[in-house]
Amino acid sequence: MSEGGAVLALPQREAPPITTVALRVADWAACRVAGPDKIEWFTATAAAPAAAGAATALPAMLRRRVSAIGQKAFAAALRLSPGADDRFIFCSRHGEYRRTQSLLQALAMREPASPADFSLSVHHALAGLLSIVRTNSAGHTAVAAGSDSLAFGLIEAATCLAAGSDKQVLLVYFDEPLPEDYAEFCEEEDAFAAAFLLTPARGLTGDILLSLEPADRNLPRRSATGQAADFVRFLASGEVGAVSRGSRGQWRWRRADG
Amino acid sequence: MGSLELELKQLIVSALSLEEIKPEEIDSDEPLFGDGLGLDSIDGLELGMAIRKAYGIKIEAKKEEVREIFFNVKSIAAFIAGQRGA
Repeated sequence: MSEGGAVLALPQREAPPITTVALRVADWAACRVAGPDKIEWFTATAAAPAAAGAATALPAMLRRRVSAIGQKAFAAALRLSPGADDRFIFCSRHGEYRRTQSLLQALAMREPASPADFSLSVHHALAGLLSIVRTNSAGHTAVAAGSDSLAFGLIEAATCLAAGSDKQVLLVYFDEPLPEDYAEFCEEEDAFAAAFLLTPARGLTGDILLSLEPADRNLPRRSATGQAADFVRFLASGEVGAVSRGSRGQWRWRRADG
Repeated sequence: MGSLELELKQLIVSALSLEEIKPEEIDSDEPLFGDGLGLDSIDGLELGMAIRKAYGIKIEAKKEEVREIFFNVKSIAAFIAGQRGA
């Protein structure tokens, strides 16, 4: 690789351990959609998953522009009542891919592409819509990092919080299986959406530590939604630590013991 | 109500995914944008495209009268009827 040249250094397949990052999870909510009638909610308090409707509903004029999985991501985010100054970080492997597919189909048929679809086909479209709903002007980031999208969203959140400019971050993750035309690239089985209200680490019990290690090859590699479900399971279980194997190594999550 | 107006209301509801509004609930005299039905500029572009697809009529975005054409269902119907007659 030439020095000073514009050569992108791609990450190695199996990365060495990186410095551990830390943050606190103040609240969270998640939703797994395994079919039209198979919608399962998980929350930090385990209570009130049935109330996922009314209080967290989007205004109808905005809701019509959000896909079904996007609406679940919004429902998860809104039930955490993010503050007006909280930075939003949205992470997703594929985003609302059906919208992109419908644009591509229109172009292939030499039909005009939908302006509404086009305006929402960027990766941070939902972050923008949520900032309108919450009249939040704190700024947002959208992360796409393959099957490791949630893990890199967590790193983005930890660094924003550690930098001190953000007191609280709302991290939102969502993905769904790709449309059938893309079946051979699809690793996701279910649709999954989750939101996490994150605060800075205090160096105390209750901090969550995140690190990337070389993968244990006996562990199965997890899809994007699989890793997100693993993280939610770790939060819900109260266990000291958990591991989820991604595409760049394995992610280890630990609860600081004080 | 003219059948063209009803047709346009159906087009507005389907093209703009107004799931909670029935076509017949739209008042032909009600402004479509801002205070009336509450459509925004993206809806304007989407509706322009839907009209072009359905009627083969292109409404030039540059035209000064575009605001007047898109004011309400009645004004769009009058424009389309005029184009057909021309």
